[in-house]
Amino acid sequence: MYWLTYRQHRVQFVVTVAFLVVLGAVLLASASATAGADEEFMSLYPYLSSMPVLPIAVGVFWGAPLLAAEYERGTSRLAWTQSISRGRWLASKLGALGLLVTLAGLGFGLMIQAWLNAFPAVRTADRFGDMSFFAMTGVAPGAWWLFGFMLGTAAGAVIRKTLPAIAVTIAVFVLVLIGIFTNRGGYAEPVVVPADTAAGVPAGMILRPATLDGGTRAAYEMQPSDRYWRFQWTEAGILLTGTLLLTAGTVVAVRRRL
Amino acid sequence: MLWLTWRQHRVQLLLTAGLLLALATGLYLNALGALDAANGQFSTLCRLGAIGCRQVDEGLQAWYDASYPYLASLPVLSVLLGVFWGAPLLSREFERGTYRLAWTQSVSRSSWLLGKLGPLALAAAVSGLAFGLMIDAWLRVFPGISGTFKETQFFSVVGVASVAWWLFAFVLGAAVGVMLKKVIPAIAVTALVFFTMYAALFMLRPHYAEPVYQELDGSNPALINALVLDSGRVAPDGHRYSLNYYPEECRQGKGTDTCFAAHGYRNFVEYQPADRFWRFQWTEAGILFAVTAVLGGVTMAGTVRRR
Repeated sequence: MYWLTYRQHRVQFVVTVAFLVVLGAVLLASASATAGADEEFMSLYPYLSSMPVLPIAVGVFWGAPLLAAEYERGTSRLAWTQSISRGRWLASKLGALGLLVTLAGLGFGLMIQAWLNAFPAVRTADRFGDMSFFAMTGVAPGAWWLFGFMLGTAAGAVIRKTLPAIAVTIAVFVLVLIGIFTNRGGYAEPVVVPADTAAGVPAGMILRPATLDGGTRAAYEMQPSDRYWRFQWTEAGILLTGTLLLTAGTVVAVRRRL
Repeated sequence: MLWLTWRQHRVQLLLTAGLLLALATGLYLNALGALDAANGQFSTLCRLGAIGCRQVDEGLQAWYDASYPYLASLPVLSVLLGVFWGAPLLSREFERGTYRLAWTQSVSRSSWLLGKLGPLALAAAVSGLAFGLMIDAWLRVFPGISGTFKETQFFSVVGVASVAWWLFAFVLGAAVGVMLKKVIPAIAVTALVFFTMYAALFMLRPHYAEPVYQELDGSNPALINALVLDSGRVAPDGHRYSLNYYPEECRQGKGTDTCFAAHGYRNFVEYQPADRFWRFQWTEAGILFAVTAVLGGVTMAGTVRRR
């Protein structure tokens, strides 16, 4: 089965690895550049800050065609009437590909983290305060990539046509992304920190301006930086729950009808 | 042919129309909310040096900042046209083998293709135009805060550039589809080429014309809507420095400005004036139309030439 999985999905695998290698080279060159840190950081920022949507590509190219293409071509009839049961066929495909996708997402996150570490003096190079970097460092990218993959797979299993499955994958992913990005600040009760003009804006995830001492003192409602890992695991937990539900949906859809 | 085109592509066409309608509704409601949020409390935002200050309504600015993350990705929305309208147009015919049926009817291959490409390209252009008009109307609610010229990411979603991008995305998908003859790889390559093109024009955009260089003591009000390429201080020897560079003779602190003036430093700015907006729009559209024409030729050649 591993050989079959590799043979059927090697193009996606090779393209993903190539992408990570190219990205790694670009980040390495940027991190070791001698030019001004601010300029170097800002020159890549517009591109990197859009990369939380990368798992869409995983969903579209790894996930959606996985089952939809089999149904559409009628090859599912051949694949599922061999000596290997449908359940095992699905388990080994989802297991092997899901593992690879998760590892790729975590590797991506490590590279982004290493790049951020190269800019200790740049204020905006913040893995907690910046929406995008939070989703691209720590354990979150692994969960996001796996979620994208399973979302595509489930859409393909239910819809059974590649193009509509791709469209649904993109639409649902964008909605989930917006939902999580707007609600992330509520993973824990925020703290109110006085806005001390001498110290500048405090480090962490700033949610909104607030006031202290009965409205006389300006303050920020925020999440302090030391909650980073707690928030990371919360986000990963939400996404992995969604992934589990999607996996269950896929299994049910595949078992139900040929 | 028109009937066939409609039948085969109505899902995409209706979905696109629905998406545009939903977007228009969302933008309209957002604009109403913004007008409510405008609280008439003006604050002055200043950028150092030649660019100077502008007055902004605080409520409007806060509303704009909250809406911005959702709208910043709109310039790449047209990639969906390439992925769902363009890429499957011919590659799906090849993949399923239905081209053998389609191309052995009484309609010749070239008129079959023109009957498909023509109406769909027209629909793509009209969609791009409608999209551009609604974004433009939304941005007008935020005078002085946002701009279609000084903020180059909004430049490509308004005016004739929006039409050109949507048309380009569609024809790109069709051309890639005819070359690769498989749906999924065609989608992947279409998205990749589109994003590469987007990044290239995004970087090229500020250089469509020779920028204006100006040295001045105070600030220039014409700069508020202009596209600023570079600004800072220029030393007597002509070397440019950023505003937060402080040489030996002038340390940061009180009287720095007088010190800089005494040592012959002057504020400078390099910019594209706001009245170049339409010239830049037509430049960008021209580049995209030219590429689109080439891709259309590739699509035609690929369809007519094969067995």
